[in-house]
Amino acid sequence: MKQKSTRHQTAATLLALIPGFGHFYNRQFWQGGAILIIMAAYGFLTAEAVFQGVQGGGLAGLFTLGTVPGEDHSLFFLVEGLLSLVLVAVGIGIYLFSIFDARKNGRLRDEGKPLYSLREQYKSVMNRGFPYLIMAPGLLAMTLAVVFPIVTNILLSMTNYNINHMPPKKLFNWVGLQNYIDMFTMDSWKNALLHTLSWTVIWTVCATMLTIVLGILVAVTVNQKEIRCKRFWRTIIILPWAVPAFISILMFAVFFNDSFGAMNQQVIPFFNKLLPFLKLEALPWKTQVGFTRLALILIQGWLGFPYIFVMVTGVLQSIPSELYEAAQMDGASRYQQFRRITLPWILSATAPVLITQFTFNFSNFNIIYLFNSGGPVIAGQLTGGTDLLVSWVYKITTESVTREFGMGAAITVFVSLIVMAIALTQYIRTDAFKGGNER
Amino acid sequence: MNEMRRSGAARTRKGVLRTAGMYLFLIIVCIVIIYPILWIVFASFNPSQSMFSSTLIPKEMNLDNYIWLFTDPESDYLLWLKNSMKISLIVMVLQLILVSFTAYAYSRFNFRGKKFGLLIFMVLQILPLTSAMIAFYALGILLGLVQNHAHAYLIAIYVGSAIPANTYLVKGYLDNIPKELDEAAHLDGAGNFTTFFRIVMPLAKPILAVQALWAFMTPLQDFVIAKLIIRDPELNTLAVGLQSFVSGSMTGGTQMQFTKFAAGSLLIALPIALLYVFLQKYLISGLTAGGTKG
Repeated sequence: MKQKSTRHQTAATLLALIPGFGHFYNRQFWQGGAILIIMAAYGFLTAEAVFQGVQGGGLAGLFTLGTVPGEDHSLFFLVEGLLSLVLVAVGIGIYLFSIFDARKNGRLRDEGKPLYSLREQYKSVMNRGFPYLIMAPGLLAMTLAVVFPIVTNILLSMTNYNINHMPPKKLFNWVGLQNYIDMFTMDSWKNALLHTLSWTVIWTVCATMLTIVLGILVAVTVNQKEIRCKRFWRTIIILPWAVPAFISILMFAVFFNDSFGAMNQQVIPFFNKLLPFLKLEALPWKTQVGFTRLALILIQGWLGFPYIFVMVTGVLQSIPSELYEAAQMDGASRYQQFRRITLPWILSATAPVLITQFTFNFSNFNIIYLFNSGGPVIAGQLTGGTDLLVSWVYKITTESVTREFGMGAAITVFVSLIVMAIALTQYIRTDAFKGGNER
Repeated sequence: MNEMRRSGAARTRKGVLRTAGMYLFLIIVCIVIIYPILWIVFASFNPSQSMFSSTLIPKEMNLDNYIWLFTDPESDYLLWLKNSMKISLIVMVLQLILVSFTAYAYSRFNFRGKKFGLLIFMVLQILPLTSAMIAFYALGILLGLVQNHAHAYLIAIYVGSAIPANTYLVKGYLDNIPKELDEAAHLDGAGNFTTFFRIVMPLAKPILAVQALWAFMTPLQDFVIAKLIIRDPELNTLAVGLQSFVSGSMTGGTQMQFTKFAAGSLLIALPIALLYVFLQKYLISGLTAGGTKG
């Protein structure tokens, strides 16, 4: 009885190992023919690229990365190998799908149920496949523009691609995790990494805290009942957010110029006039690391706090006034109300945004590069005084003569892991993610 | 009740001091915000190349810098503007189409791989674009995109990288549009596409407007990727072009043309700033709908 009931299913599955024949067996000739033609065409079109390669070595090139120096370009081999891998995976996907479909139809026959006609099949594809259909263009764009480069980057981090192994003259090769090991053990890399990492952490914490504290403080102040003309204050405070960041940063790059910037020419003299006993002198904003760092943190505060201000202002409207009334009944002071009601409410409502501020600043390339190109230079260091990990990577790959692509990629992966670790722990708890799971 | 509390608090001396303190704080904050902005505004009217100025308001003011940007044969400002507008418009159209489709799929359908897809979006949304910088550069050179199709490559990167975060945002908004409307349309015999274009999209106009604005802004604001990929000065975007005034690469690294930079920057910053100020209500609702993007 049991054997009989799986007869068609087994036969269809086995025959489907030859593309299309499972469907022929189920007398779905159109579908079988289509599968046969699609598989044959796909195989025909991709075989050359996968097995021989166009400019690289196809799938095999992913392992060899080229063999003839001066002729083979390792990067071509890597990229083509990766593409071949994708092509093969897609091919296997289609193949497996055809087998499963034949098997499913075989089972339907065993159960004595009718099979889908061609028209029904089309309808089913249009209905069940509809979400895939409309997502396909977006996902394709995303894959090509983001996923593929990120995967390439991860692969590059396991090669010795640098000036000594520069294709096409020379080949580069797989070195496994050597870059990652060097990063933490080789003195020159280790020192530069520690130097950059420690500043990156200090920068992230200081700049982000300044942004958040200032944003919350100003928002709460403007929202106090004593303050009139709230719209007026809000419009001014929103300005740094509204000006494109690169313009503001470049503006500040000149504003803080040691010799003719407004900071040294106008602001410091003003303070000297106001408070004569201070006797401030022009400060080396661009040439001494400490001052450059201070300037950067202040500028990021200026750039970033209006955004927090806008968010918090929105949140403040949503705090129920009953909470404050109850607190006043209990005789709580204004400060206690802020500390016990307002602040916790703000923090819990904006937590995900605050976290993104940290991850954003951790890899905030723009401000570092545009303000002072990561400088000032420190003698005997591979990295600039204010370089973050990301701007350091940019330097050692595109600017420096050593062109450390492999190491740069490895550091990038390291940065990405840190950013993800900070963010994921928090994200997973947010409603946006939970809601996404349920629906 | 509120009124009583206010007058009660203001009458006491402590209350007056506190109010004065709060105003003082706000005034200081506003001066810190406005001073650099005023400084760049006045610089743009300053005809002299020398930046030495001990006063905020320069002694001489005219429109020379603005006239130079538009009329001088050496100025590429209009070219940069054209390049940036072209890129921004194409990115806006493509991103609107792709994002609204993916968001619709994620909001309205259950399909295999949905959870996994959302997880991938989540991860990609967190990763900074710089995490693929080396690969952008290497792949672009390898495929000849950097040399021959810099703009198309830039557009592809902007659109592709915008999809994860913005899909979340739009999905969040679509989730709040009642599904019963879709079902009613289906009962009336409307297909998926009809429902999408006739029912869902008209209701999603506010978030689509925010999307369009952001999609338009992203290329205008980006400096890093554009700088990395554009080799030919003819193809410079506004961001890259304006930076060349200040970095000095334009005049052989000898002279900084800050006053011209100031004029060129203000011309582009002003319309953007006005948009932000007028649309702040919508921008905020757009921000909080998805709730996660910084």
